[in-house]
Amino acid sequence: MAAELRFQAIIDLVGEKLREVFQTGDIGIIWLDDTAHVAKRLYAYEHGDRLPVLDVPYRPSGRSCRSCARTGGRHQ
Amino acid sequence: MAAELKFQAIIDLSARSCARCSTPKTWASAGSITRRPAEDPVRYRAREATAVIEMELAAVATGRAVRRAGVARDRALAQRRRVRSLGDRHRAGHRHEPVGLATPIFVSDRLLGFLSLENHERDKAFATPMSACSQPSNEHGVALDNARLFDETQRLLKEPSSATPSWRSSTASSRAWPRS
Repeated sequence: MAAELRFQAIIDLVGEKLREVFQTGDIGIIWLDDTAHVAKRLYAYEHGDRLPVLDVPYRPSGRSCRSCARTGGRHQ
Repeated sequence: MAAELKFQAIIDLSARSCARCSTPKTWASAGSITRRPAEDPVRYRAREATAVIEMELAAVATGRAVRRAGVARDRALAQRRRVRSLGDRHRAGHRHEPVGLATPIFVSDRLLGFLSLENHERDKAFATPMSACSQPSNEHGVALDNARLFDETQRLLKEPSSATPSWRSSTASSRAWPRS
């Protein structure tokens, strides 16, 4: 848990720096986990507002699941 | 194929429409999401160019479809009414066409992730040229990958059972001091 927090802190730091460099309020960092086939939105800003961390699985033999993107991985 | 799936996942993650006025976004890739194999650079270049062109065409096609759909009068009017109370970028009558740009982050020929940049102003280009985006994102990718590796090693060190290498337990018994 602590390790994940540390990694997230570094991601936040990098994201803040990139936001400064690109002078934008709309930016995101997305991390790919090839073994679990998951794309993670670790850092995202839209219109200057922070968006929550979100995971979306992508199927190895098909398109990524839109319902996962909406619900954060939970099928309804 | 896997690269396209990843790109699709990025678009899904980064949201297909604007959070404020729900206008659909047009997405494009700032660079190739496949890396050049050392043995056949010519073939790679052709594939890379095809991949980029396909993505750009897909983005353009999406943009056209979005524009065609946006022409519907009732929908446009409803949207204008909805965005009237929003900020400067979303003011009534202002044609809002958000564009997303996914820049791949590579570290030693491995695709780690994407940096997504969005532009919500129609008449204003990206503040930074597309070609300039990939270099800093790759540099930051190295930093992020180092952080991830450091965390992984720290975690393994904290887990004594899984962290202990197999050779240590086997050699410990074989290297035991002989009793005199």
